[in-house]
Amino acid sequence: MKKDSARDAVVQEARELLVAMEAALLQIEMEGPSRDSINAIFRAAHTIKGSAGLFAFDSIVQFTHQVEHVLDLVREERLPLNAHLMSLLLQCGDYIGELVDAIECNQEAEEPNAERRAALLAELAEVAQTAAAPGEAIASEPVRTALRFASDALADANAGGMEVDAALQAAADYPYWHLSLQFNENVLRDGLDPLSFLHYLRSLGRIVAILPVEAGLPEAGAMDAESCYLGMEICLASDSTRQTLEDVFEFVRDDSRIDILAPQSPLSAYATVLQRLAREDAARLVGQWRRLALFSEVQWRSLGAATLEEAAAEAVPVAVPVAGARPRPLDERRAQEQKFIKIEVSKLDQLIDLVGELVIAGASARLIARRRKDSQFEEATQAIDGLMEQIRDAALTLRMVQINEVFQRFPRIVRDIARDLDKDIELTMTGSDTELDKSMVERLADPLMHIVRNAIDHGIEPAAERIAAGKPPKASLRLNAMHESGSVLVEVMDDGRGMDRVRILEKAIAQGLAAPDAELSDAEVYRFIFEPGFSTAAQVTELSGRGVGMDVVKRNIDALQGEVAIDTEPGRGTVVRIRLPLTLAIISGFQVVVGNAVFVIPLDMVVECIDMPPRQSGSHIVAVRGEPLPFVPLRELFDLPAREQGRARKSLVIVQYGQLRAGLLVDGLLGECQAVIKPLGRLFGKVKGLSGSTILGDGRVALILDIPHLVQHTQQQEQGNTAAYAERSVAAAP
Amino acid sequence: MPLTYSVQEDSLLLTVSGGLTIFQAAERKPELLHALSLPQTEVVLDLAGVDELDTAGIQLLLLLRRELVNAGRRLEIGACSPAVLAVLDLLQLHERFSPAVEPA
Repeated sequence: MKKDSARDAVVQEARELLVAMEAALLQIEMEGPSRDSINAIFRAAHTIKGSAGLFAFDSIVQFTHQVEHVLDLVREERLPLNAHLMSLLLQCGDYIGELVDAIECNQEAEEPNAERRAALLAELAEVAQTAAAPGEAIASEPVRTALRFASDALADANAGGMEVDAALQAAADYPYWHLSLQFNENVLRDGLDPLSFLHYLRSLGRIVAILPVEAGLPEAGAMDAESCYLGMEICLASDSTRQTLEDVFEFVRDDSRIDILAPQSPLSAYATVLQRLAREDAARLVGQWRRLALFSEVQWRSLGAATLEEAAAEAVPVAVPVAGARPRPLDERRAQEQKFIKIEVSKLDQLIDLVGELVIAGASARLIARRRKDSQFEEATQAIDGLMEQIRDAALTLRMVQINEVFQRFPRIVRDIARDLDKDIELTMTGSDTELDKSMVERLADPLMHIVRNAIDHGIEPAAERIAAGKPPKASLRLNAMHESGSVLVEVMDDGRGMDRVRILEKAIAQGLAAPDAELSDAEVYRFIFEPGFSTAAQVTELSGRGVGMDVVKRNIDALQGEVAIDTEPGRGTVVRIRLPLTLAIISGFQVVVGNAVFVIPLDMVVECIDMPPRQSGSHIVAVRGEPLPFVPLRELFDLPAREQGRARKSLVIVQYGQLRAGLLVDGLLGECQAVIKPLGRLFGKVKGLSGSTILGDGRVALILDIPHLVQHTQQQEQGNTAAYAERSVAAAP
Repeated sequence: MPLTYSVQEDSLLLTVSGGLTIFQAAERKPELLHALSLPQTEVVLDLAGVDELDTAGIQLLLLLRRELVNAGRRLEIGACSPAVLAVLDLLQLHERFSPAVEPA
């Protein structure tokens, strides 16, 4: 329902604002306070309060109000923004985040942590107490407002070509606020209902009179039922400040006309309100004002509205007395083009699903064209293919987001952990504009967080130890992301103490993960880090060392079809590399056939295809241009029936994953295709070497090979083989 | 049926039920405006079955009223649900939708 979509909007917006607020706070911490960043923080808090207020999430409103109050004091330079206040504000931001979470779960009625809230509020109040006495600027605020208002009115009068009438400059009797609103056409589509503003206004005071203005409604035929055409003239009795009233409309201010007249504004301001209205509406408003006796008779005459009023009584058409119709500000701002639109993820997914189906349907059309040997038909399908590929790519890029969505959380996380552990760390982030699939970005956050925590806790030494080791006391931690051969590489680099190979190996042997006499490569040794329950930390700290974490990292990355590797140098630092595929939805594939089965290899990973060179039977290594290359005979791997005698020639498809290469032995090559990846059922979840399935143009099912797994498989086998080969040669020697 | 027409003597009775909000506005608009093509001078709205009404709904009612009035006809609300009543109260629109003379 509407409330729910609005709720989502509030939650999402609040989260974005909290991120902005945090970024501004951290920037202040790095570069010292600046007016811009203080304003940014204030705006964020203020906007959160405003949108929460719209939906009566009182808990947030009240809490944020206190934060805003303190921020206001900072903004007026009555409070210094010191380290204590910074930390307090960050914590308040966190707590607002918790309140937002509660809203998301429909649990806003319960306070997530009443104790914490009370403590934070008490601290805020304490800080606010220390504020300097209000300066002169504050005292003069109402005066300035009044002055500005008067000059506005004057400008209006001049613009209208009227002679400046002293009477019009005089304050009117009108003892209430007057709000003159014309909403932006899209306000309803944006999920906001002007009625909710009225409800909110009622909580700020009493609506004395209200007049819906319907002149904006176009002809019946031209009226779009989902656009908002209504305006409102509201007479409001309230003690609120102008700011409070303006805040009510914070979210519709863009493209909407929100005029708020203070009580006893100059007469000319009310004249302007009347001039703006169409005759019918103006007459109604005059009637209303008359009934409420808002102006004295003299004022009525000055308003030049007497005629109007008569018109109202007699229902006779009379021209509005003051000429010079002002253009509607609505049209003026229309020109500003919108740069972004928000789309529901489910709609995008649907689009990508459809594109997937289109790709399959296109493939079947191409197949028919080829069979019929109709050159015109084939040409047409080729053109369609080209377009389809573009549509596919465009659809997929829609899901792509910058990895910055994850990276941006790290300045705060690193700051907090570094503080807790009393370490001095400089975080640099590069390649944060690297794009990858939205779903991956979300699922990358947790593993990255673990890795960064580990790096700070275990990797980076305390300052004293660093100085002793001849390193600068300030440690450096770097997050980097980049595209590399059809995958995304995310690196976490620190310049800490590195990992102790010997200690890891000892521990692995102690835990029975490795045989005491096994000869293991560095990469294999470091891989033990990812085993469940593995920790070399001598001391269990609050953050890490309990042996929970890195195995979760590995599992999460595996689930994303990714890979994680460690490169470390004792005393110099550690690099953790995460490699992820770009997307999980559609790939360019290369079809091969083994027996009667068709397999698809992701095209990005194919290096070349060659005729199978002669080989030693039983060995799984061939020489390609003088270099040894391990290979996998797919027929044996999947236990497929041998093909009837016929074509003896076999092909080798050379694939590369990361830095590793391997060959796949197949019966035939079928060429490129577009493969829409469909997940394998749960039944096949445990089958290694397959990552999914796809449907071919002719309706047959093809399996997609899990190249990373196969490449690793060859590496393991290679070692086994080398050992076996050595044994064989020994046995053959005597 | 969210919207039905029935003719009673010289007046046309429009019974609306369900929601009358942004979600139904596009669908309801032609149905409501269909009244314009019927001959009866008096059009009465029965909104007793309307459980939700928002600005989009109010706009439609105002549009229908304006078009009818421009054609020399009349629109009044004969019955309304608590939800409709609350909105009419909030916007002080009773007068515009009642048979009493309203300055126009």
